Amino acid sequence: MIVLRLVYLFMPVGIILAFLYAPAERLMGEASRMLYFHVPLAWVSVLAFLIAGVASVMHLVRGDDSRNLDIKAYNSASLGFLFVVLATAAGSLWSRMAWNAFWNWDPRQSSIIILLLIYVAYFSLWNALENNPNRGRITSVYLIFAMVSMPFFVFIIPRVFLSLHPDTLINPRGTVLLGDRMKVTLMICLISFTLLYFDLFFMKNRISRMEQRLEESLDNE
Amino acid sequence: MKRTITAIALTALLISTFFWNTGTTDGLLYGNTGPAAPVVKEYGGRPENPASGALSEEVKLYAVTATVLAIWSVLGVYLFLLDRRIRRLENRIDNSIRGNE
Repeated sequence: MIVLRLVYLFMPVGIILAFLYAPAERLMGEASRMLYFHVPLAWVSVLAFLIAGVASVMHLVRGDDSRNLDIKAYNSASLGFLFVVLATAAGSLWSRMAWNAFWNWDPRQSSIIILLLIYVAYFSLWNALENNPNRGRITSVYLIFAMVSMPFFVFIIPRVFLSLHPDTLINPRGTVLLGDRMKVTLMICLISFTLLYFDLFFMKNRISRMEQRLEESLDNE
Repeated sequence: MKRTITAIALTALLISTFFWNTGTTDGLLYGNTGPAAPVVKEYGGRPENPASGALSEEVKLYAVTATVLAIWSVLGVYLFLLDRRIRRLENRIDNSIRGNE
């Protein structure tokens, strides 16, 4: 899709804005520039896990006519996993600069570790069932449970317990607590990482489909 | 291949922004090289406190840039791996076509 090609425009613009246009935050100083990469990575990972869950639901509903939705769910979950690992690494370095420690078991840090483990288990399950004809259905059920638990870990736990993390973009006051320049930069980075995710997701789906077609044609010969 | 080249180009762009910043930190942070400079120095020149282990603003900027560079390196490697997967597929298709002939 042509819209996805906009990632090649938005991404460099986002990087330039993050370093040259957005001001440094008053308390955290230069470390605050991590916001424009850490938050979009975390957002995209949540989006990827949601799409993986929705694809799993559709796979179970449609049954045999699912058009490889289980593989699409796997592709989305693997991208989500990549992005959440990057978000965690970036967050850990930000934590060192802002709170003076790489890791301090903040509720959000703890919940992200549990989320990572949930998806590690999913990939183990996927690989363990390689020759099982019911792999798609079993892993889809697992992904639906993972999707249902994800908002709990990402949105609820960090709000229930006292956290060092500042108010999120989606907060009880319903306002984005950022200056105008920071807001614009963050929005452009959010859009660019979202486009990057969809570009990679569709590319992975195309590769999977090609691999499957090739296998089928080789089997027929 | 095109994607790999784009990833490398984006990384190069990122590295270049790093040099722009380190060269003229005071002005560029606020997009203003003139009157804003003293205000920025207030933040940019915050002294390091070795006792608390806090990092200076310059070190923080280096750290952010290095982290972003690392993120892009990982994404670049990921794109390279996808590109390799496509190349393998192309080779398999070519081989099967040659086999049929």
